[in-house]
Amino acid sequence: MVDAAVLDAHGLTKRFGERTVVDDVSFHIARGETYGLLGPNGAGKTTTISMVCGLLPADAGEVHVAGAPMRTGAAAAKAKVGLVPQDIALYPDLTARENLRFFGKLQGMRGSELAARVDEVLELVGLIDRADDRTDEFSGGMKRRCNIGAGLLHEPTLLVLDEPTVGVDPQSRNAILESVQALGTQGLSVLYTTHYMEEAHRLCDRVGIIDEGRLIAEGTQSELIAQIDEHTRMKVAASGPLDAFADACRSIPDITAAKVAEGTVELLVDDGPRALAPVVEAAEAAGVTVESIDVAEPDLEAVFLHLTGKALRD
Amino acid sequence: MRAALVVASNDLRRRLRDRTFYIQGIAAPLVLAAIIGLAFGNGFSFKATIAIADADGSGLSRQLVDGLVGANGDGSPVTFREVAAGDVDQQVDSGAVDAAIVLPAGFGAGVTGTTPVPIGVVVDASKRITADVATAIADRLGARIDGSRLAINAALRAGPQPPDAARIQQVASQGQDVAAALQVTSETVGEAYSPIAYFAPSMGMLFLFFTIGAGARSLLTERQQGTLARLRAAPVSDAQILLGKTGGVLVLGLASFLVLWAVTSTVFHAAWGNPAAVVLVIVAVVFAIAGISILVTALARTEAQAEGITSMVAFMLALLGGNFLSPGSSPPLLQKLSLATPNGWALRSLTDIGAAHAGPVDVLPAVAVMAAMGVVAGLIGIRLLAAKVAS
Repeated sequence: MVDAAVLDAHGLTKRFGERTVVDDVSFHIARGETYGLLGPNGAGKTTTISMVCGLLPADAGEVHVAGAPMRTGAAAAKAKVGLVPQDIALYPDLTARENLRFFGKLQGMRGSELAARVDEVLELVGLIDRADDRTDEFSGGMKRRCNIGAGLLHEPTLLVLDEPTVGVDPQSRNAILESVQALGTQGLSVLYTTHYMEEAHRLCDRVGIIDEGRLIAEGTQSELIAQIDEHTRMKVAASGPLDAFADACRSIPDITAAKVAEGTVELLVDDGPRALAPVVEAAEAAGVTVESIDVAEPDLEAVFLHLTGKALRD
Repeated sequence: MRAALVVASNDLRRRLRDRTFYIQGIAAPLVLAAIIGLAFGNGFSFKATIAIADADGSGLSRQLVDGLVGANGDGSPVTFREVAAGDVDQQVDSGAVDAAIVLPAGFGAGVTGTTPVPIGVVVDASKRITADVATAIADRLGARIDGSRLAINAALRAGPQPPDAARIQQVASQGQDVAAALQVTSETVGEAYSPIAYFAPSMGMLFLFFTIGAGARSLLTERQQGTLARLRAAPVSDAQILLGKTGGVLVLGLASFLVLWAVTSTVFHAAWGNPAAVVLVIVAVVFAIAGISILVTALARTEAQAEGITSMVAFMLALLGGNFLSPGSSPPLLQKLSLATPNGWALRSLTDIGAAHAGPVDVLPAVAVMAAMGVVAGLIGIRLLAAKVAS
């Protein structure tokens, strides 16, 4: 167990039948740290946090939250965790206040302490004016904010957010990210799962990259990017047979990875200027019409591409 | 325990805000009971065939048999049929007759004796009302014969002692004339038992499957909408969550049934009978139906599937239990099959309470059977649901 870690997950493994969904995943989160678990859909992020929160028993490995062992029946460890599930985990036929009061009572809060804390959280997530409206009357963003509020109610030591911005409009998304940033600066430890590279980039002190159930890289963003520091990202927006174009690019010596994603071909290249001409030639040979070529510094997306040969949103 | 109460009260609050509960749990059974009740008018027509067997063969017993069979007439609620004494059990078992009165050997001679010879009654335990009627008739006959016996003994003691044979024969003949004057009247056991007092609980039980089923299915709903994950992430055990959910379901079922009782009693003046006995039966049947609903929910993979199976089970049990038929009108096979259903036991008990004035002690066997059904189905269901919740 890592000393002074708020969360220490060690060797977590989960199998469903023959399929290993999470395979020997270990990481820790220090007090006040925001840790991002970055990976595409189906990578094992939700299963990992289900074990972290005691919702699923691990087939192997163990989790400690502030020193308390987490299991499905571990009340002491569960009391230290605030979970914000990916789904809107609210009762649509109850008001925001009623929802928060109920979840607060389940955490053992009551009376004036509960009432005051509910108001405080509603204020924090910007819903105090709509506190007595049923949540099925809320917009998607408001529901997401209330969902986060329910996780914060009992002032947990560790806040676990499972893709909290999925399906949210840009304005609400920004508000959610600002809230999480603010919580991080207030000393709350946060485990944040996402498949949005920008969110991990904006929020997280450290990032673990997960793919096919395995934690394939971990570190601060600069440490991760340093792994591919000599590489450049090149995004070719084009139309035509993009798969054939990507195949052609992979045979260019300077290109270490190529991936087709949403009307673009993303390339990881050793030397951008030197690779430019062969890329254009490959496009012509493949019968692809190039609309634009962007050359950018490497980021977490490039790290993921480098490590897996896949785009994060695959 | 506190967490279970929090979960239960949250479920109750949400269900009580949902008008479906009021429609399914109260309005629908009341309306249906009222409609069916109208079809039956002011009361149920009671019909029974009671066998009379003469194992004595005396003049007095022959006179009684002839008197009873001769009393049959159009519109009479009870039809008497003479059968051989050796056939009585078979006739009652097969349902050919609903009950039997047996005049035992020595019955006639007993009129001049000092101790009465009791009249036998053979009943089908599943036909409580008919059994009570047959017993009442036998009691009435016994009382008449006792009166005759005492009169004969008094007459004999008034003459020269010891009485000679001619004197005994003369006085006994006078006693037999007393028996011949016996009139068979119908036992009006059904007059205070209104159709709505029968069909309100009958329909209430049918809709109880839907009311309670919806509560039990809320676990699947919560699993689907994600709130179950949040409940399980709180410092409460899965057992507390299941206990809370089950508690909520039971309270809802009880509430709907008690309201039915209150409304039919106050608005329709339906007499359900002894309140303590009624409460016992209501609690037992709600418990049993809750157990079955939990099992159905646990066996289903989705909420929609659970809803479909609930409907099927509800109507099947209602048909088998006799919920759509008036009391005592089910064919013998259905009466036997109804014993496999909690609603069948409950209806039988409520009929006994309302029509035959049964009390809490009388319904205890049925309450025990219903409780056992609830425990078995509920425990299996909760075990399966616990595995489903944890997966």
